[in-house]
Amino acid sequence: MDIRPWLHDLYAPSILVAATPAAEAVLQVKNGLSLVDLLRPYSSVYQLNVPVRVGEASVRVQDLRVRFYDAATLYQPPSEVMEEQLQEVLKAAAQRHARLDPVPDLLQRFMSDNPPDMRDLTPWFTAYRSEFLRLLRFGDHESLDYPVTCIYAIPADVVNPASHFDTLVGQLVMPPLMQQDIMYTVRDKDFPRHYLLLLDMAAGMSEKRALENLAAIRRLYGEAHCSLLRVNSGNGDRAHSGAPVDFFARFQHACLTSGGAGEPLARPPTPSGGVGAYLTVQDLDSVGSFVREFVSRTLLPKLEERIARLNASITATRRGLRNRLNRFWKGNAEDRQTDRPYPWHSVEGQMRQLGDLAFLLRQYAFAESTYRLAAQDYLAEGNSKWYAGVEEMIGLCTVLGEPADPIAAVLLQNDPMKYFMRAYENYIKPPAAVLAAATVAVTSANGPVGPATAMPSPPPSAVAASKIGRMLATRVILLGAAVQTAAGRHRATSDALMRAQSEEENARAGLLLEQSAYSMLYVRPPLVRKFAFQMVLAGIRYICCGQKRIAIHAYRQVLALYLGKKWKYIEEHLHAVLGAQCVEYGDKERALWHFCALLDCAHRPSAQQHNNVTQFLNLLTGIRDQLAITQDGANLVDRLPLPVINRHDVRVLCSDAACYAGPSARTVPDSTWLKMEACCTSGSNNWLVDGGAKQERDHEEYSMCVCGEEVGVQVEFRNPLAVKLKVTNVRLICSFTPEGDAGASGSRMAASGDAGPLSATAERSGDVSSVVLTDSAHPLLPGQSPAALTSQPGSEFIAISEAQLTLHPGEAMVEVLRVLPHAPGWLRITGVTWTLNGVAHGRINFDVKGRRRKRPKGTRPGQLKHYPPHRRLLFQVVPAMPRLELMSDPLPAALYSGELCRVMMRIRNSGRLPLRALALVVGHPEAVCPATDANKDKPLLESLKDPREVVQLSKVPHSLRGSLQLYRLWPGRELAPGEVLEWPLWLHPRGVGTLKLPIVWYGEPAVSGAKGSMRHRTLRVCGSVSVQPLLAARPTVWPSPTHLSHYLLRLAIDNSKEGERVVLQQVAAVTVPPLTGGGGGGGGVITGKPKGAALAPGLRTQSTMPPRSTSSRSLSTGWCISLVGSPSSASAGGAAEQSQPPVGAASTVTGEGVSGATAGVLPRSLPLAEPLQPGESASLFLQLIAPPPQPPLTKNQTGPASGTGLTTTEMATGGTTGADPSPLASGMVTPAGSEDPSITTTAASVAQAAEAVRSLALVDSSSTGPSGRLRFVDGSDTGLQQLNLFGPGVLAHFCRLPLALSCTARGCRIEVSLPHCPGLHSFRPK
Amino acid sequence: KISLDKEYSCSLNNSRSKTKLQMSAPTLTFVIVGQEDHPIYEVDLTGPKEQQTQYLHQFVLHSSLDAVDEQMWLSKEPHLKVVDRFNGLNVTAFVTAGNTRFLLLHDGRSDDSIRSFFTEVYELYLRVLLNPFHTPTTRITSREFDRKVKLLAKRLLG
Repeated sequence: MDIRPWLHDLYAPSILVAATPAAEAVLQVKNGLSLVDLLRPYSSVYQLNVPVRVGEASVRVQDLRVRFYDAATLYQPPSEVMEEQLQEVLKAAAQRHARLDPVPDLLQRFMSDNPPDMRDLTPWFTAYRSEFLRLLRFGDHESLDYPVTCIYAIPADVVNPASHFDTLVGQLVMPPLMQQDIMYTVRDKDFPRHYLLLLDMAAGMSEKRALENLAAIRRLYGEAHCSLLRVNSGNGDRAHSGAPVDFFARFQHACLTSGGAGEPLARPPTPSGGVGAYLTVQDLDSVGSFVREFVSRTLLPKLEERIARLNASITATRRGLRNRLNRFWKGNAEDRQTDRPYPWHSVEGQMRQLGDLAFLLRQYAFAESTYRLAAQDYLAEGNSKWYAGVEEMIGLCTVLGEPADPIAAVLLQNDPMKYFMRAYENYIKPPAAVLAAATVAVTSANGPVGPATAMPSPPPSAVAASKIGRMLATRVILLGAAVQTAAGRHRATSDALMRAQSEEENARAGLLLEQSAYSMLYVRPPLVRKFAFQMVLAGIRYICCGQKRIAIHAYRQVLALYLGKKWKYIEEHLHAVLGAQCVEYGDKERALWHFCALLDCAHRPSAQQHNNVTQFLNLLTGIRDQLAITQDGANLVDRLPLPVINRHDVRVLCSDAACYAGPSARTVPDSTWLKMEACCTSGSNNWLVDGGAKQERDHEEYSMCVCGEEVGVQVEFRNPLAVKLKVTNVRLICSFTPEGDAGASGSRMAASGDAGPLSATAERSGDVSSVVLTDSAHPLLPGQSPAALTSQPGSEFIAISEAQLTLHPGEAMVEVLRVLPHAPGWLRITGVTWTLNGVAHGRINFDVKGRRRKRPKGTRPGQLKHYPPHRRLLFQVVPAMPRLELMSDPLPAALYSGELCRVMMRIRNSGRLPLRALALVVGHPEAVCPATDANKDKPLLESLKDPREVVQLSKVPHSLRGSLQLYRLWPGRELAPGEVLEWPLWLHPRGVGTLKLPIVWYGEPAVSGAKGSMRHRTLRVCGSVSVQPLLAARPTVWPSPTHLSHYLLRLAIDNSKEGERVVLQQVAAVTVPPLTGGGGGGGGVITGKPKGAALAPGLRTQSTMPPRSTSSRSLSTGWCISLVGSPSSASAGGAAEQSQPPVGAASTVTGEGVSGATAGVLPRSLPLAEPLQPGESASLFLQLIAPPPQPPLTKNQTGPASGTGLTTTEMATGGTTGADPSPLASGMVTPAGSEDPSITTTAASVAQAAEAVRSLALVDSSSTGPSGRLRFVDGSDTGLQQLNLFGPGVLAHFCRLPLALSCTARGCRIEVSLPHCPGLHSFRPK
Repeated sequence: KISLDKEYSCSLNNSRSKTKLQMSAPTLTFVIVGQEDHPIYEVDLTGPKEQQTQYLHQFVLHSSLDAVDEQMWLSKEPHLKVVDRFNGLNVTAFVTAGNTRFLLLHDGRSDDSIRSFFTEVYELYLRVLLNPFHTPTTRITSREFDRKVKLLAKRLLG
């Protein structure tokens, strides 16, 4: 790019034009033009071929451009006016050129082979620069713009034209600089003048008179310097004249309020016929020929003369060795600083004028040498402004002075930048007045007056001068930057511009920064990041000076470069600025975008977070249709970042074939449930349906749900800010396709969301839906259910419930959102929508994490990934089904170990259909259900009252036997919808800790549903009870010193410190019958009862016992106990029943027993009344009395089978051999049931428990009534013995005291097992 | 809004006020920039700054990446010394073999201490890099790393 034409255009000799008012009127009235306006279009003259001698060289001037100025306009406007005008220009240019949007593909264009032109990128800069250069003309330190010739014009038909010219010259208001003797004055006798007569043809001026006048003045002023110009030969018709419409306007510049800068204060009014209406082509041609004549005959010869004069004068005083020595001796006398302009007649001023004239005549070498000469002077004088001026010119001369070579090559050899930078440095030096003021301030501060005296502000003229100095400095930089850019040294351009901008006024600094930024892009490779930074700086400057439009443009241009790079402060700044600017600019939508991005501001102080949120919401308040706000294809609603929603992890709470009772049931692993359910379903399911078949539709896994039952999705909401957020209107976005009519009437999408215009939805029905169908292969494609937001919360098919939540600062909350399908079909949940603080709508689509498929079946997420069942968001809604529901959690929170507790489960059929084939699977051996076959044909309601009649313990699959118990309830009967079933369950926790009790209720719909629907439903309940220890027993057994068959037992019973106050009620000996594999032995039962409650022990008889159906186990026979000191005859008179109340525990002891009809049992129960406070222990001394020997008839069959099993007879025989060595003599024997939980033994223990509880329950129901409290335990009760699952032990029957006193319905019973009972275990069969 | 603009102009333009600001709180910001120009670790070693200063620092650091890209071909050393300046803020850079850039924004510290700081941090960074889950754009969130960098800065940069 060649920069020289532009520079040539900038500088041209200027011509002063002065006309009498009459002469001006000739043109103004008819044409609306001044004389200057008329001349300006012809200011370029070509092919003159006039010889001019400049210095020693003689050249022929071929082309010349001149500038015409009115005499009254030749001054520099004040700096404020200039700034104002420049602002206006910039604003207008920005309005015209700057788009708010960034230039598309800017970087790509810069990377390509032909980068865009800078002028196209920033047209406002070009406009600004030319105006800036224009306004800075007529400075007092440069004579480039001073008039070199003047033209005086008068009307042609005056009498005595010479007097008119004299009057004109006499009345001429000279420019200020001319008055100050700085500008070469027109009053000088050598000042070149040209005299012009204006002949108005239309006014009918006499041509003869004009010619006479011309002849007269020619005689007076010389032949060459007088002209006659014919104008207004037209008739006022615009069409008649040949000039284009804007022929004159192109050369007119804006008028300033203060005038000056070469333009008048105001333009003459446009006449009715339009500008130039009376001017014909002939007129214009004559103007052109006049200018040509003027230039060749007056201007150039006179210029030559003046150059010769100046040169002679300068040669005389400055050039040559003599002058130089002269100056060497005289100069440098004082080191002073001045900014006083030199008058035109001084040598310094003449040097500058000579240089400028040579420069204007394009004699750059001569000009440069003259400037260099002058530069020494100015530098020596310390006149920085003038020095800077000539340095600037030297720089320009070096640029322009080499016509032959390509400019870039020249510039590379000789960098003109140093001159420009020198000029810059000197221009920005503060003017002398300011320095003087500063000096004064320093001295006064040092003086005794102290700093109290205010620093004298520099005089306003000095301030203005420094402002002008700053502008001139910027001008130098602009020129230098243009030169560097032309030379392709973009980095140097940027350096210079960056240097200039820092102290410059905002608008100009912005422009400089912007230019600098773009020049960074011209560097190879483009410095993109520097470009972005400088653009941002430019944007800030623009904002500061109110140029919003280009500011936004600058910011937007770089926004894309910064976004997504994770520089969070940068992004925050961009969004904050752009948001604020967009608000001011009225661009609400974009402002919303930026404010929306600012909402993620957790790292800021809370006040600012609050601010950000409020300004966003305030701005959003007025907007009704938030969906319409889109950018880059994204929707504002979709981008709302508050609250933070975890879209990757959702949990579906949906009841398919399995329903859950409470969240704790969901925490149990699925495998447990499946195992339990397999017990009941094994009959109806086979391998085809049981887990083998995948639930897939169109390669997408789905879940099942039942219509009329809610589907819940757990979504996590988090508030990252320190501001409280109110989230309302939270609901799921769903699409629903009714079953069956997907093919017929089209996929009727019913979806829901927040308020907004609805697009294709079910409400529009019919045609719209069919359109959806035709272009959708599958009705469930999520893409086919566009963000359809209905105004209703749901539709006829689904009902979506709303939730609302308040999120406190930093809070995270998991909310269950629900949708309720009303009809069978397909339901897809795609996302969630909400309203923030009642204003901003948000929406997010779920993107659930899943395992990627190796072979994706399609493009939908469901086809790309495998989801676990609780994350599948596609549902098949099947027709209504029965459903079991647990009405309340019946389990107590805590139990004591060994306590027996009956809980009542209340199960309701909450579905719409009756339920049959009820079954119950209990997954823990410590909970049992009393089971019997009897009375199974009783009617439903009655059987409800007497539940034990209709339950049946069924066989479970072999592998599960032992851990699960399956009960079938009411075979053949149904549970109607809404009906409640109460069912007792007995809990007997034996361990300590938390008892997890999974229970499955199973049922089948009474009428089998359609194909593909569910065959059964289950209810999964998981209760958890914390089991605490209460009683502990420490037994010691040794042989009685007095009786061979007796043993002494010391039983120490400790109450737990954390426990309650209990009363030991009874101690009973329990002999556990030998079981298969179970440990046998003797034991005792301690039964506690409330203090003060009078008892009648032994009331029960065998008749209250249920008939034992199968009694393969032997009834315990033999052992009885008594307190030490009681008559041992009790052992003999076992049948003697004493019913005296046990008042004194130790003194009045009664051997009490049950008269076993089958085996005359000795009394084995001792009623007690021993209160035990928490932490207390009681000690009982007991005597164990061996039974009389019995013939070992049946026992031998079972006895040897069990290694550790003891029968009474064997014990009797073994009693004599107490020291019998046995492998278990260590006394560390633990019962086999707990030590070796093999499947068979566990199953047996479950059976035992069931039996025992059954018997107890019967006792309970029959003898103690509805209170449910077991009053007394019979030690010889076989059921009780069987309940003692751990084998040998003592049962402590007790009551919690508070419970007993308040007579609540809960019976408590604690079994204390005595695992280490060496005396007992030492009896072994042979 | 006007006050906002004023702030900007104050913090970004007025170099005199800027130097005053730096007198009160020295600037020392360390950033690790990943291969894709994402900042993967940022720490302000001289305590919290006001908002505008934070903005400016990030802008200066980000724009200095261009200078780093140029300078790194001129030197065989990973330590590139001061690569960029803006209004009295210097950016010293260190380029690892994997084109991860360590940038330190400071107001004229001795180059030797910065060099040793970078070398030590490089050791730490290599350990982070050994993590198989570390990708070029992963932010370094290790507390231990953070603590050690701060310790190093205290020791070496004062």
